[in-house]
Amino acid sequence: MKARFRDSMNWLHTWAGLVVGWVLFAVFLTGTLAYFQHEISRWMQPELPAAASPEQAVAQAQQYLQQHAAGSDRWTIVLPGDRGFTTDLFWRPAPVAETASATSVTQPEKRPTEKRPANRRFERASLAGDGTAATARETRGGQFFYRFHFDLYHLPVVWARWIVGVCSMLMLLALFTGIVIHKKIFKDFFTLQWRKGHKSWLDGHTLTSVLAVPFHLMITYTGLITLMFMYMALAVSANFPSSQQFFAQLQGDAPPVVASGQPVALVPLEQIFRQAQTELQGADISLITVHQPGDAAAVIELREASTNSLGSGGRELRYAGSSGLLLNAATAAPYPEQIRHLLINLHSGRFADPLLRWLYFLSGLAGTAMIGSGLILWSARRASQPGAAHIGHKLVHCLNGGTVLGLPLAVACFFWANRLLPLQWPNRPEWEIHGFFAGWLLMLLFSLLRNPKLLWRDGLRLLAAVYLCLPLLNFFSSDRHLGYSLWHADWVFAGIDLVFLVTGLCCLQTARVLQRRLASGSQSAIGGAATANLAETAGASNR
Amino acid sequence: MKLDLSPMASAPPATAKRPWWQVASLVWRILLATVGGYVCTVALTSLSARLCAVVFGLPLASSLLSMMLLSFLLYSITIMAVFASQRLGRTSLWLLGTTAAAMLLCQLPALSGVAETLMTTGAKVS
Repeated sequence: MKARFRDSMNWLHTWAGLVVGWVLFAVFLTGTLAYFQHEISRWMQPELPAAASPEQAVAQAQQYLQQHAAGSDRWTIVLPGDRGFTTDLFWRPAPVAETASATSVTQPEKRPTEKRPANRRFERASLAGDGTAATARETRGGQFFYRFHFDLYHLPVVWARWIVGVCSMLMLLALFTGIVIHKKIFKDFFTLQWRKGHKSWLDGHTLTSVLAVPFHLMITYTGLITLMFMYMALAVSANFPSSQQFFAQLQGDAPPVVASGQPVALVPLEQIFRQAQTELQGADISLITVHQPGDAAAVIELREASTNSLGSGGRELRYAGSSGLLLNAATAAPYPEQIRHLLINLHSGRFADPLLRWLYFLSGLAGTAMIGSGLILWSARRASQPGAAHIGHKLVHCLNGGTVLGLPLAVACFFWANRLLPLQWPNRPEWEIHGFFAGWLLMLLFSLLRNPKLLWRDGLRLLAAVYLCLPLLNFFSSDRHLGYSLWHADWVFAGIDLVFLVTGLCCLQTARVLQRRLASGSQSAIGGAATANLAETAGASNR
Repeated sequence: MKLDLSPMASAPPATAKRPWWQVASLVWRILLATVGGYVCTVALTSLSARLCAVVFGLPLASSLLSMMLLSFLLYSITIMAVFASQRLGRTSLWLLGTTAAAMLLCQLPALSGVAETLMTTGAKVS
């Protein structure tokens, strides 16, 4: 390999970052947006009334499920919590002969690549705060970004998670090697140089990396931990006859609930909910599962939410559905399991208050900028070398433009589709997602066809236009526009509209800077030619 | 001539042909780091989990989970070590030897007994 350790690590840093940089950029950006997934969902369904209190939500859910899912063998109730606005219900329908077909408000939970037998598919309904089925426009909302950042889309879930896992592992390597190769990491941080071409990109890459390096390390490592049992399945199978035995030893083995065939009315879930909250010392409850509802053997499971503190979540209580008696007390999991839970909480940030959530968001943006600047840096440095016309370099340049500019455009198109598609449009959520990919594809084509020197300026102008127009679009398409939100201190709607405006203004300002440089004939900020010694300077500062 | 794909180095043009053995060496190094590193990590994770289970009297599932939490760190270090090494052949032998040794040690009666107990008695709730 290389003669010096640092050179080897530099090689590994460069290639580990480049090969998966585009996927990582998408994962980081959508994952960052997912920190506000509930707020985004709220913005995308402006018709929804205020959410119900948890107790009301539980009672409403039971009433709805008894009417619409009486023959089901399992109900799942996801409570709205502090930030949610709907109560989400899932159930597996009984065979068609036993129950009425799902009503028009239910939305089957499906992915295009998943094929399940018809009788195994879950039905879904969302209840608004008044207990009726939510009549708001159908959308995947912020949940789409959340799922996309580890399940991607148009791919089988298992494949997608492996791809994301491999990319995350390479990201971790890039972070470790990045720390190794930047000997003067803090000195570089304080010597940020503007308008120095590639040197500025290197400084920008260093700055976004150093600024939030603990966050980058944490988020990457804990991201791997969230899907650890999948990635390290070989370690489990090497030590246990089956993964079920491993989990049984680790988490305890809840006996399966078998229906007795004797119908007994289910106790009021609201009452069980209150009992459980007392049992859990007032902790929030996020999930209720009812096994065999309406049967004498019914069991109600309640799971603690992970929203209270970093270490919260995971405790489960089981009650008899016919009598309301507590079947098991909440016990603490083994320490390694508690640590795993804590690391997952650290990644998901559900415990974070608004201020901390904004810090998560800004750190995530810094991570996205770090990946983007690293990709551009690779391309910009190579532009000065003799092999710059190589097809690989052109491909990287197009992918850089198509991804770094394309993803933000895709996100904007997703929001535009939400406001522009007719409310009764068939399969509306899917069409919003088609809008997302159409925006991405459009920018990929644009970066392929546009003059490389003008690509970034024009791309940023396009981004500025679509983001600055989004609050306007919201003004004309809903009654929750920015003026109304600010007047009524509705910070969810106002915050998202303001973020659109700020994003648009940042893109516009950057495009103006690029325009000035192009006009003055100075060195192109991104894709222009560079002097040979500039690469050496960059390399020297890297060491 | 060493294979140099660094963007900073005064590298030959990307279009220049490289000898096949350099490409083969790079492919082997990548495979050794990714696949070999993964198997080695799994073997060392298993061995350390069984050792912890025996030494500290922990349930195997708990000790395995503890080691799995550290496994990505171990995997990263292994990959970095493979890419940093000057002698690929010696590194290959080291990695394969370590993996084989860890797998063999897992078969020692004192350590394999941890897993066998589980198999004969069935799943025990910790």
